Order: sequence, then C-alpha cells, then structure tokens
Amino acid sequence: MTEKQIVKDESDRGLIESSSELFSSREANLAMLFFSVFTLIVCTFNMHGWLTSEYKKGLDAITQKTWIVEFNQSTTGSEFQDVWQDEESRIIEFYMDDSELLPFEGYTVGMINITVSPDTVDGFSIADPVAQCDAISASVVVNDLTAQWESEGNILSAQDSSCEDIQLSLLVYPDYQGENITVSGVNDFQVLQPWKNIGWGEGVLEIKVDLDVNTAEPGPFATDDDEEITITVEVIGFLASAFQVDIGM
Amino acid sequence: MADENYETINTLSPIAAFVHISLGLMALFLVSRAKGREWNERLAGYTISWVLIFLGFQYLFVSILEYRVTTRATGVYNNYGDEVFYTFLTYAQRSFECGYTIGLSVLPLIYPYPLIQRKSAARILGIIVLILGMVMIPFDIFTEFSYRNVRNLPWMIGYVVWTAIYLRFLFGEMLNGEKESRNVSSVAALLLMAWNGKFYMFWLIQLSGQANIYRGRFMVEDFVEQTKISGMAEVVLEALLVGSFLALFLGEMWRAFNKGSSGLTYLTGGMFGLGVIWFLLTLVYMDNITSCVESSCDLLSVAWINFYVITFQIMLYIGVPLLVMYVMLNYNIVDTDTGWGLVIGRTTGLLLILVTSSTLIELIQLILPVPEMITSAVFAAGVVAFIGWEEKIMKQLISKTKNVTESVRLVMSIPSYELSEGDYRFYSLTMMILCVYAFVISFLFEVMGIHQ
Repeated sequence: MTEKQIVKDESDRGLIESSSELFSSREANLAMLFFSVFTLIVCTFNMHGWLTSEYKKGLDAITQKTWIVEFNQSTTGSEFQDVWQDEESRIIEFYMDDSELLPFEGYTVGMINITVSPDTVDGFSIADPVAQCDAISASVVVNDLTAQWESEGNILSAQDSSCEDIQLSLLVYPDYQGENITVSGVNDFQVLQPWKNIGWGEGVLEIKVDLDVNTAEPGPFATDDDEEITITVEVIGFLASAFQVDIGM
Repeated sequence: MADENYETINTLSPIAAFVHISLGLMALFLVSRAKGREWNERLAGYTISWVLIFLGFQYLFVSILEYRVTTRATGVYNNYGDEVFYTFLTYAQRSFECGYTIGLSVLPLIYPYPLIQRKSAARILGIIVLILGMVMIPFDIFTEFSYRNVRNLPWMIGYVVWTAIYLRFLFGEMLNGEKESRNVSSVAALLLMAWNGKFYMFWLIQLSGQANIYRGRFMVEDFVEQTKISGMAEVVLEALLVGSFLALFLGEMWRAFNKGSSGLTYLTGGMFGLGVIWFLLTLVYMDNITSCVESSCDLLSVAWINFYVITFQIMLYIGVPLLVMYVMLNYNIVDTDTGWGLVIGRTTGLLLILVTSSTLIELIQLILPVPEMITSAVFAAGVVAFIGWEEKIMKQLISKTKNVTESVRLVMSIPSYELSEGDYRFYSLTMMILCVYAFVISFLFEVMGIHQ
C-alpha cells in the first residue's frame, strides 16, 4: 500500500470539495454509476407498476361506492294433504333438507311461505250443503329451525272459518325482503358478503293445524265431521348479485 | 393484542425499549469520556447514542400501545385503529420515529467520511436537527401520518452516502491495495446493515415489484391511508434500498472470492437468502396478501406472521442495537479503555448478550411448543458459556479496535478540527431538545384535540 501524507489541516471545506474526494476513484465511480442506473430502472419499473395497477386497486378498495343488490329468486316446494277429524290437532313436519325443499345450487333460503287450504269450494260440499265453513287454525311451531323467529314480518299463526286459504310466512335469512336494495360498499365482495352466510334455513319446519268442523245442525245430511286439508310449503331461495351504480347517473 | 394470529408481533418491543434506552444512555456516557477521538467520530457517537434513545422511547410507546389496544387492524404495521390513534401514545411513538429519522439523516454526513468539513460542523448539525424536528414532528401529526414515507425520505441520504463510501473504499482495497480501506468499507456496510438490514431482507420483493402488492394491502389496512405521494416516496426508497443492498452483496461476494470470507460476507449472504425466502413466502400467501384489495381483508397467516417476527422484528429490535454497539466498540467511537469507561463498556456487552439471548429464547418458546424447562436450561447454559467468554470477547472487541478516520486519512484528507466541548454539548443538547419537544408536542396535540 502506498503511504500517503496525512493531511492535518483545519481549514473549512465546502460540500462539493469534500464530496469530490469521495468520487476520486474512476473504478468506484463506474460501479456507482452502474448501481445508480440500476436503481433508476428498478424505481421506474416499480413506480409504473404502483401507479398504473396496485395504487388504483388499493384506491378502488377503499373508495365507498353505491351498489344495487339484486336477488334472483327460486321457488321450491312441497305439499302435504290429509284429512283432519273434527277437533283434531296435528303437527306436520317438513324437513328442510328434503330434496323438494332444498333451494337450487348456490341459492340460499330467504323465506318460507306456508299455505293451509281446506278442500271446501266456496263453502259448499255434499256433506255440508248449507255451506258451513270449518274453523281451521294453523301455526308455525317455534323450534330449532334456523330462521328469524323474532322478525316482525313473520306471520306465524292464523285462523280462518270462511273457507279461505291461510297464509303463513317465516323470514329465514336476516333482512331478506326479496326486493332489490341499494347499499354502499367498497367492492362487490364486501357488498355481497352479508348475503352469503350459510346455516340459515336448516332444521325442521313444523306446522300445527287444528280443525273445528262446523256443520248445519240439525239436518238429514249433517254428517260432516272431518276436513281434507292441504299444506303447501314454498321455500323462496335467492342468489344475490351486485351492480355498481354509475357515478355519472 | 386482540387476535391470536398476531400474538407474537411486538412481543419483543418492551425488552427492546429497555435495551435501546439503556444502551443509548451508556453510549452517551462513554462518548462524553472519549475526548481523544476525532471530531466526526465523537459527533457520530453522540448521534448514534441519541438515535438509540429515540428508538427506545418509540418502542416504549409501542409496548404501551400493544398493552392498551383490544382491537387492531389486520396489518403488521403499527395499526391500532381509532381507540388509540389520536392519543398521546401514538403521537409520541411517531414523534420519536421522526427523531430516529432525523438522527439517521445527519449521521451519514459525518461518519465514517465527513461530508461536512467545517469547524462549525457541530453547530450546523445541531441546527439541522432542530429545524428538521420543528418541522417534521408537527407535520407528521397534523397529516395523521399519511405522509409517512415522505417523512422518511431523509433515509435516502444514508443509502446513497454510505453505499458510495462503501464502494469507494472497497475498490480502493481491491484494486489499489489500500489495506486499511477495509475498515472504512466495513463500517459503512455495518451501518447500512444495522439501520437497514430489516428492509434488506425484502430486497427481492422490492426488486420484483411484489412490494407494490403489500403497499396496496397496507393502503386498505391503514387507519388513515397513505397518500399517493407517500406511496411514490416509498417506491423511491425501496429502489434505493435494492441498489444499496445489491452493491453491498456483490461487493462482499467479490471480496470474499478474492480475499476470503468475513462476518459481513455471512451477514449479507444471510440477507440475500432471507430475501429469496420472503419472495417465495409472498408467492405462497399471495391470495392471503391480496385479499384486502380483491375482496375483504383476511388475517395474514400465522406462519407468515411468525416468520415476520423471527426475521424482521428480531433484526429491528435486537439486530440494530447489536450491530450499532459493535460498530461503536470495535471502531473505537467510545472510550472503554479506562476507569468507568471499562466498567460501563463491559456492562454494555453483558446487557446486550444476556438480554438478547433471553429474549430470543422467550420468542422461540412463543413460536415453537418447546417446554419451558428446556429453554430455561438452554438459556442457563448460554449464560454460563457467555460469562466464561465475556472477558475474552470484550478484550478482543476493545483491544482490536480500528480507527476509521485514520484509515480514511491514508487515502483522503480530513481536516482535524479541535472542536470545543461546548460544541459537542450544544449538539447533544439539540438532540435532547428534540426529545423533549417530541414529548411536549405529542402531549399538547392530544390535549388540544387537533383531530377531534
């Protein structure tokens, strides 16, 4: 190694003067130039990637947008028909995993509509020519079926003695109304996430039906002491999809 | 911390706070006794000591925040959400981060090769510290830390200057036979590794552009997202990091090929390997990482988190004080030869090794299901072995010290100023003022409720 004279001065130097010594080696300068160009290329490449792709994606992911959630509905159903005797009370069970009730592939159970129908047409029958309608009361038994039992929109019990169908309904999926809704969210995944929960609508649907036969007493044909009742269960399934509302609208 | 996925994150911060503050104070004491050292070495000693103290306070607030929060964002960055975001704790943590950045921006200007060669260097640096502090800390809090990477831009001074110094003296050693230049290139490399080693391990992620994917995720996770310009500043810093790391790695490989390997060869080689592993790990967990942008944020996997803790956080919390103290002891910045200096120097060494080894064992226990009895036994064995070797290691560190400034003077001229003790005290005082300022501003801003 060549011994150089150690400079022992106390004079002030400017930044350029002091840095120029650092860049006094040609080979080192070439290496620095190489790494500077390399750094510049990496910087340009990554900056382009950031600004044209990932930044936009990130910004999109944090910007709240307006979405319309549309529910594509499917209906599956099952029917039960039997004869009730006068003053008979019976609970009919419908298993929700029954293939007739299961919603289509990918669909989720939204709500269940139940119709209880007497067989009387316009109140007239041969057994009861005076057309006395029977009193039928029907109710959905609250059990372990996973549904919105506390929902105000439910009709869990009803009765009728005018030969009309009895309509019951049970909301299964939280907040499901069946109509399109407008929500805000950052992307369709997050907007649809509330509508992709599983586990709702599982269990057994129990319908309790009581019959009280009304006949015109006395009479030669007063032999009506039963009623054929049909219970129709309709399972409304849904598949939610989201569409972003155009900002320009 | 609420989520068990993240239970290992920042577990080292309390011990790191203790280690950094203790080392900073001890180093301050040792530097103040090192009256025979060169002016730039003493200024570097003061800077490093205060940077350690700033980091210590920062980790102290991280520890308190970790204790306080019950929920946190899914990210690994200190992202605690609104329950503590606008409080003294967060303000103070970020303010001390500013202090660290300021310290790192002035250190490359004076050590190992002083770019500022003026008799008034201490006063100039002191004024730079004060001005940067006065501007940076309130700016950071006012902007809700959304310009985090713009604030970190002064780091690039270190990347550029230390890399240039490293290359200049490496080439001097390799091509011109300037044997003593190795002291300068190695100290520049060690400083780069000490402060930036935690980022160097992501070199391939940064080179390949995968860092943009993480940036996109953190953009969604941040309680207040980073601005566009902040993201751009981060890209610039990362590019400089990659360039700086590859210069270091290739330089060390070249040197190892011609002159044999050294500790730095293994250190840079290790970082290179970690970079490759991190790249592969990112590929494996890509769906998990991109979930925030593509759908909704999934927690990062436990394996990812554990690897992050045992690589990044160990380098952050343990690697920094180890490397920095090695530089200070081995390159003769502090006085550990006589009297109290010797005692404090030995205490520093003991503190470093014992605390870090016990911490590492605790961490291993947290991650791996190793019975406590085994780790305690390993720790005890380590302590016994270390106490046996402590005197030898310390003697070697102290007696084989290298004088960097003298090595520089063999190839370049550095003025040998006789700065007054008042100059050093002024410089140290500006750092202390910065420390007090960080506390006061953070407290006042919370009391004023500027973000309410």
